[in-house]
Amino acid sequence: MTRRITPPVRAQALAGMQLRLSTLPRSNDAPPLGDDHRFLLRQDRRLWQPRRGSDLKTMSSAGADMRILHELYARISYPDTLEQQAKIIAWHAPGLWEQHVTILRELHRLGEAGAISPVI
Amino acid sequence: MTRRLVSVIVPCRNGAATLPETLASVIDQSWPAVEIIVVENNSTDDSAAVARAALARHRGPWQVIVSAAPGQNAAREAGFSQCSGDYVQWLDADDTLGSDKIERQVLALDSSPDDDIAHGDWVWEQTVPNLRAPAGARLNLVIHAIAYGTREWRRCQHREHVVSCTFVTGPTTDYLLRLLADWWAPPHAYLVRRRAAEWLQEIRAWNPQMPCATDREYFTTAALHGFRFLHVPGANVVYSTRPNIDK
Repeated sequence: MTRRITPPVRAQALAGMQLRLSTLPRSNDAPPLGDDHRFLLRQDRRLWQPRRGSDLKTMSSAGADMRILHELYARISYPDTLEQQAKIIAWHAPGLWEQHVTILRELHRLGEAGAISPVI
Repeated sequence: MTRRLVSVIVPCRNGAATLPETLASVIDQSWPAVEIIVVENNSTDDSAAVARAALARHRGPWQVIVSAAPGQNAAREAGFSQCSGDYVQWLDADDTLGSDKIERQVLALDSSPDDDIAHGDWVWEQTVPNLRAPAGARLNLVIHAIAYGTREWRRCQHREHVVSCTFVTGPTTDYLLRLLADWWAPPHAYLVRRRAAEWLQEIRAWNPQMPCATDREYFTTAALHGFRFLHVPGANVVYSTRPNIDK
């Protein structure tokens, strides 16, 4: 972790890191990658603008146990990466701490459904 | 019995105010075979002189070298090129190690030859200048950077303007997944076996172009390549953030 850094700079830096990791040589005895590893290694690194919680609920296919994330997501007022937004959601609801991948998948799903928009 | 040498590499830019406490935490380690390399990196204060004064009482080898190339990662690379230890301990100039941190992690790695990188638990201490709270008080503190783990911040018992939070990483069977999900721990929470550090240096895992998250890339690279991580209980460190001091 380094000095305070703006979301656009962080997003660009992490996109670069992700690109380098995608070409990294793996040792012969490295454990195979699972679905969650691959998802995290290919996650969207753009900035995304949250929307109102009611809009998200309408457009989401998440189960009831994840509905709280829409309310928490709508509290975020500024664009950031989906990863950072997932962490902020979990910070407000410690019961979700172990569900980072689930939250992040849901945010990606919202993006694919057009419920949230990337910042140009 | 031969004592494994541990190289502690301390990149430093304008660290004069914090270096004495940082270096004291290394000099006072219970593990006796410690080499210390401070890498002076374009400071405008008297960091180098402060480092030399602090290191004068160290019984092991030490040096203060200069790396003019800008950036903490360039300094880290320069420090590693000078070290000769069997293990590498990265340490920022404003952080500290628990007194037996190195010993615990060396012994754990020595007895577990298949593991390459030890990691431990850590305490985050933040200086909050205008803090008004009794010692030990629990605080609902919104931190500028989100780290997974406990969020229970308390005012330190003995320092009026400092709050702290303990992060217990614990053992895990899939440390790569944690790193990919950004379960962050500071670089000095780790101890790196030399063979891993050499490989990482070769591919420049301390990427000089990264403006942030440099340690995230370093340790994620290690885990993705296949180096194995070992949690060592009780090997604690303190990560400090202060106003007006860039990490």
